[in-house]
Amino acid sequence: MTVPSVLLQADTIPEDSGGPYVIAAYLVFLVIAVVYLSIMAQRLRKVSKQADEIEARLDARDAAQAAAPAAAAPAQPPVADVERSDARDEVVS
Amino acid sequence: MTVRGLRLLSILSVVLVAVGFGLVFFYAPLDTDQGFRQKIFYLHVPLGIVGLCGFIVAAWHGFRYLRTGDPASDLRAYVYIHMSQIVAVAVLITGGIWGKTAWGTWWRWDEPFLVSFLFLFLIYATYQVLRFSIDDPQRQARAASAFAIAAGAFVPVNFTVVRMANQYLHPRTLDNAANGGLPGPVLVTFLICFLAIATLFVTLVRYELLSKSTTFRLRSLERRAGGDDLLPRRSAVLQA
Repeated sequence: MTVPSVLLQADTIPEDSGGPYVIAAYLVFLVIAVVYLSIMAQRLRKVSKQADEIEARLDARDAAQAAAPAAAAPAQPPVADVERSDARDEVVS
Repeated sequence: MTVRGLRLLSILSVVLVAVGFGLVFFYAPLDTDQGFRQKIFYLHVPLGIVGLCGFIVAAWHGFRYLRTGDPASDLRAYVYIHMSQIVAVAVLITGGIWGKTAWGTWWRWDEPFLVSFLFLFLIYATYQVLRFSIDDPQRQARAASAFAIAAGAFVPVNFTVVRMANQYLHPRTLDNAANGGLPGPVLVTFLICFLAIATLFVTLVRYELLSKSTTFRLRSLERRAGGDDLLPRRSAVLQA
C-alpha cells in the first residue's frame, strides 16, 4: 500500500478509538518541532552574524591602534579576562 | 558543536522523526486490544523516557558544577531541565489523549503513575522560580545545582516506588518488551521513534547551549567595544 493511497483512505481512521486525537497529537508535535528548530536556527544565525561583525570591527580597530604610536592607544582589558568574567557573571540569562 | 554541525543534526532529527512517524501509521500493525489509540504509545513512551533521562543528566551536570565550579556545567543543567520540562508537558498531553480514548477521561487521580509524574513535573516547575529568585550568580548556580541533584535523585526513586505499587491501570510497556511480548514491527517502530525523539532532544539542547554561549560572546564583544562606534546599528541587524 503506497502512502498516497493510504492518505486517500483517511476516512477509515477509527473515531471510536481516538483516531482524530492521535493524528492531531502527531501532527501538532511535528509542526511544533519543525517550527521550534527553525526559530532556534534563525536566532542563532542572527546572533552569530552580529558577533562576527563586531569582532571584525574590533580586530580592525586593534590593528589600527597597533599601527599608531603606542602612547596614543587606550588601555584595553585582555579579551580572555573579559570572557571569563562574563561566563562567571552571566551563567544563565 | 559548530553551526554547520547543528544544521546537519537538525536535518537528521527531522528525517528520523518523519521516518518514525511514517512507520507508526504505515508499518506498525493495529493493536488487537486497543486499536488505533495504541499508536500514541510510539510518541508518549519515548517522550517520557527522554524527558526523565534529561532530568537525570541535569542532575549529573549539577553535581559536576558543585564539584568543579565550572559555569558551563550549571548552564548545561539549566538547559537540560528547561528542555525536559517542555518534553514533560508533551508527555502529560499525550498521556491525557490516551486516557481519554482508553478510560474515557483525561486524568485519573487514583493512578499512581500519572500522579507521580505530575508531582515530578510540578517539582521541576519550581526550578526557575528558585533560580531567578537569587540575584548573586554564584549563589544562584549553587542553589540550582543542589536542586537539580535532589530532584534528579527523585526521578529513579519515584519510578521504582510507583512500579512496586500493586494496583495500577497504566500499561507496563517496557516490561512486555523485556519479556519479548512486543511483536517485531511494533518493537522496530518503537525503537526508531525513540531514536528520533532522543536525537531531536539532543539537537534542541545543543541549539540552546550554542545560542546562549554565542549570546555571551556577543555581550563580551559589546563590552569590549565600549562606547565606540563599533556596534552595528539595530536597524541594520534587523534588516539582516
